[in-house]
Amino acid sequence: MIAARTVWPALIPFAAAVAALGLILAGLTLVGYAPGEVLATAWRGLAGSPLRLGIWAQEATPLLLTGLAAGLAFRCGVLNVGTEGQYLMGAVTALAVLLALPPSVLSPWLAALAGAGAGALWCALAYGLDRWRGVPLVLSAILLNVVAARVLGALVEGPLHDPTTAAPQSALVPEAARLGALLPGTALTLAAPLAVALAVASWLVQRQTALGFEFTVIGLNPVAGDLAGIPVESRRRLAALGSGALAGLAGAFQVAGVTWFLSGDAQSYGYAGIAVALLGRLHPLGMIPAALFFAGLDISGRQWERRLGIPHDLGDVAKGAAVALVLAAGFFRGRR
Amino acid sequence: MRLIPRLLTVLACVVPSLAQGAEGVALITAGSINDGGWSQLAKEGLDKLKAGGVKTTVIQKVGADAAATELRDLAADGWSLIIAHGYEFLNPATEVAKTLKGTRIAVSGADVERPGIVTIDFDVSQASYQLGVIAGRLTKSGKLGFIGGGAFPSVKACYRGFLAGAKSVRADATVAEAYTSWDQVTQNKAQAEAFIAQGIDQIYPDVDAAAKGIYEAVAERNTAKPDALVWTYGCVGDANANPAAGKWTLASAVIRLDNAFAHVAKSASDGTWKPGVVRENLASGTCVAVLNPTLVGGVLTPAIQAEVEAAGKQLVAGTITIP
Amino acid sequence: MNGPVPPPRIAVAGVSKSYAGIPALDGVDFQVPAGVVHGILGENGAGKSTLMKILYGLVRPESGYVRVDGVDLPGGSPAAAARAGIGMVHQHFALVDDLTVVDNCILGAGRGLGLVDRAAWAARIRQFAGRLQWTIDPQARIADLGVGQRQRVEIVKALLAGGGQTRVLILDEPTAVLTPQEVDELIPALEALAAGGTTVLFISHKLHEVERLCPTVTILRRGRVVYDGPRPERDAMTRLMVGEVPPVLGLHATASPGESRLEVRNLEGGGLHDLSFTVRAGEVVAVAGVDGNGQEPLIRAILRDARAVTTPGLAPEDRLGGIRRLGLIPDDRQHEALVLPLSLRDNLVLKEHRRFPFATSWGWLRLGRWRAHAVDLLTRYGVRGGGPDTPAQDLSGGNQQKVVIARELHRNPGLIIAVNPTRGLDLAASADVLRALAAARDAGAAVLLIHHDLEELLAVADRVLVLFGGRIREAPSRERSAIAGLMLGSPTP
Repeated sequence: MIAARTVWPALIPFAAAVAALGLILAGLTLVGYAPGEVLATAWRGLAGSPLRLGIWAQEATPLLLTGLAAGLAFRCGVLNVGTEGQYLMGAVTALAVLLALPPSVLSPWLAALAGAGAGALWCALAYGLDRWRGVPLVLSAILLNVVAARVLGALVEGPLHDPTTAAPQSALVPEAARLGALLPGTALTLAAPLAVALAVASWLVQRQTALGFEFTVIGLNPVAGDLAGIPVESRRRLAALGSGALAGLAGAFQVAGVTWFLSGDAQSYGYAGIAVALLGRLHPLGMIPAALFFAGLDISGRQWERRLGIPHDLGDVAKGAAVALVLAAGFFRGRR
Repeated sequence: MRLIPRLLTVLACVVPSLAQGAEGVALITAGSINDGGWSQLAKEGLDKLKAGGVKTTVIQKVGADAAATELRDLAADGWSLIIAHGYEFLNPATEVAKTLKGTRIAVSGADVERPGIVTIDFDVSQASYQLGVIAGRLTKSGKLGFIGGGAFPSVKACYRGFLAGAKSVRADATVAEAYTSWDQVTQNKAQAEAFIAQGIDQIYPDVDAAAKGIYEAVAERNTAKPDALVWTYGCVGDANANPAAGKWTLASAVIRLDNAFAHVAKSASDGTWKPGVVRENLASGTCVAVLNPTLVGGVLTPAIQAEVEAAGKQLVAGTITIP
Repeated sequence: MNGPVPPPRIAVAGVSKSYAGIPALDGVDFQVPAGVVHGILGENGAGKSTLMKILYGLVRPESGYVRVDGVDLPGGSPAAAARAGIGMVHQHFALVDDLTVVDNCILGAGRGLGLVDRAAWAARIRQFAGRLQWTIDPQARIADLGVGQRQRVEIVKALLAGGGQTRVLILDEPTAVLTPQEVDELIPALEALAAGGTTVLFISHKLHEVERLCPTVTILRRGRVVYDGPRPERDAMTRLMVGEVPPVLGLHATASPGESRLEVRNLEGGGLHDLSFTVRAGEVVAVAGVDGNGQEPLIRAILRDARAVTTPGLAPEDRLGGIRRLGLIPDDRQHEALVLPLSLRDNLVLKEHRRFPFATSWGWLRLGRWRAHAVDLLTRYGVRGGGPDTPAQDLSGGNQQKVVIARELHRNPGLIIAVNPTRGLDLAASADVLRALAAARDAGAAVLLIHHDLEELLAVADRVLVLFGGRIREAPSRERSAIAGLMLGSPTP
């Protein structure tokens, strides 16, 4: 009984991921693709060479960081759906730092700190609107996502604009200020091992520290937490700040190590992080495979399109199916 | 720091490795390949390479800041040539190219020299000159209009070509210029209507797919007043076959992207690849004026046809230059 | 009281149901004629709830049948049960807090869609309530109502759902949350219903209420009917229910109280008026009162108010996050005391999780200590149904409460606040809880017991305070009727 209860929930995400893949394979088989070829193509795209592995890890890194961001807040009952905007604010702040400071090996780390700070501030803003102005966090966070995209656009086309182009693009981060690639030909940087380290650290905090225990208690039952003397409000604030900082850090690393500039309609991994957190069932270590799964679907989707002519939207369908299955599994478990 | 590449090498040896030797042409577009404009043209150009037996792929809807990731992914996947279609890809292409081995990158639609990559410049101003010749001949009011999506140098050059062409056959012709947007159909329609109200009867749009609004305005006007027709033209894409515009389009200054892509693909495979600007123009057969075949022999009289051809020869020979 | 013989209003025959192989009901048979109030008794876990769910169509029996006026009730369909004229009032209210009484009744009748005539509904609510000698404001928001009022709304809602044709009204532990006064008012209302021809099934384990209300009873034990017929004497009923005579409660202090541990001085606000009292070491001070007369603001003030409420025995550093660290058994153990999905180990250490030896001074948890602590407490307090790794939600209500008591009392706190600590527990479990409080008092703790059940309260209270209208008065004696009078606001008896 005890074994079933503790092992079963951990298996749900894997089952959901496998089921989502199975659905896709079944669908492709029905329309005439050989499932073996589909799988082999995906596998070669993910792990066919050191370069491919590097690309997989590179693409999973921002997902893991935003996943940790969303997971930290959710576990504490703070519905931070603003990781999208916090990521963008982290990215644009890091960019400003990288462009403003004289380039050095320290630059990317200073930019990472600044990006994390900006993400935290942006989340604090959403959280403050919730606490003091009564705007529900879900709303304020989503609204601030839109604001962040606009702020980024204005900065990229204004003070950070690249004078040599008419396109809405920022200037390039000088080569000496970038986060170097660990594997030439990819943008796999120290951000990847750092993200894994942060996942492990999150897990240790959650499992082994009084703070993490309090986060869990508050997330599950804030009233009981309050009556047990846990300062609920200050813990939630801390979780919100930490969540925003992780999302901002993801954006900062992406600018310092992967894109090296931002365009006015910059891509964010914030919403994807929420999916990663859910697939990982809010467990920091579970988010490592979850991030690899989502990045893998992205990469596989592109491979299928290139090599087999399968529309690349299929990867997105698989992602959606996996999240839906995990949520459904959790839902039915909850109703039992 | 050397540890991680080694680790990955070991890991990769465990999986069945399949060397996918460098080959094939990949295309990155900013817009959708069904946008009826710049991105779709590129896709169609690539499809002609594919019909010629070249392995191709296209990645659409790529934001400029996502381009670096796509470029690395394609390179790690073994594509030998990547065409990044649009000058917004210039910076990421330049930077990523520095880190790649065995994959070449060309940025189409840029005329800036960058180390390590080829940029493809399209000079449509000569074909625009040829359109100007037609417009100068056929205008009744002597008032012509040019609408650009943005005041970029390449767009301005089209205006200057059109103006010079018109003046070469009708010295008192004037060309009003306006710069609107690449994607706002209604804004462009309003601009065309304003031009028509000013008595302009020849409108040359260089606004990509948003030209739809201009064609609408012209069609509405011509249906309302069939006795005083307003003529229009195509730019970059071939508007002659456009169901909405075809009836009122005299000619198009088109970019034959398949031609340009074939040039760059050839240089990538036959060892003549040299970083720098490749200039595609009338002479290279890429940026040419195409008369509307349904109007040839009608409005486009043999005399006009001959004049356009003569101008083309002089432009190629260099005896006529665009100011 | 037996009506015309065939057919009985409700007939249950051979009904069995098991969960995960464990029988909850095993061949249950009984019949009830029309127009009576019939008691269904049993300890927690005897199968009462399962039986009620079958009657209400929530659960389909594995064998046997239920007939209403001779007609088979199709199992597993609450809608069919409602059509057959069965109304149900659940132990846990099923009211939408943000809606008015009228809207809740409309929802309850399944008329959520389309046009509704609220005025007509309001009139019907007044009419039904009037028949039961109650006043209900149909426009009141549920959130603004006290527990007793909510229960009335539930009953009226159930009657209205039957369109006035309710043949069987099931009340699941209706008095668990009511004060004696509210119970006193409920009883004639139920009798009036029965006189009107409705059969009332009254599920309870409170024998004194059953004695006042039910001429016939069915007693369940471990899923079987152990008695069905005219109500036996109380001792016999108790024996039938628990299989043995429960301990008599008479747990008063023998020594005189010591120093003051809780001092409330001129407490105002939140509907309280000039509240003052003291609780001393070695005494149980009970606060009786009808729910909604100031219990909640009083509890809040005791936990958080630093000015009007002082705790001479407790050091200031014993406040954490604005909360006084004292032995606290809150009203709702599932929502206020326990974190249900977490293990018993975690629940038992909560509140002390930052303290030595459960964490280092850096806040690094020493989980080995947690486990040993949990094993120790589970044994000492006799918690059954799970080990340190069992989630709290898997325990029965009585065992959950034991976990709360273990956590709150094992350190021998100088001051204990207990709020309705026996709510929803059966006789044996309730006795355990009250004994634990008495034992803590005998060990020198000051105990403030805020309790809805006057019988139980009187069993352990050394002094009784009565809260009425936000004011507090000390009862001159422990005499039941005098205290009941004070609870209704009568002047000094």
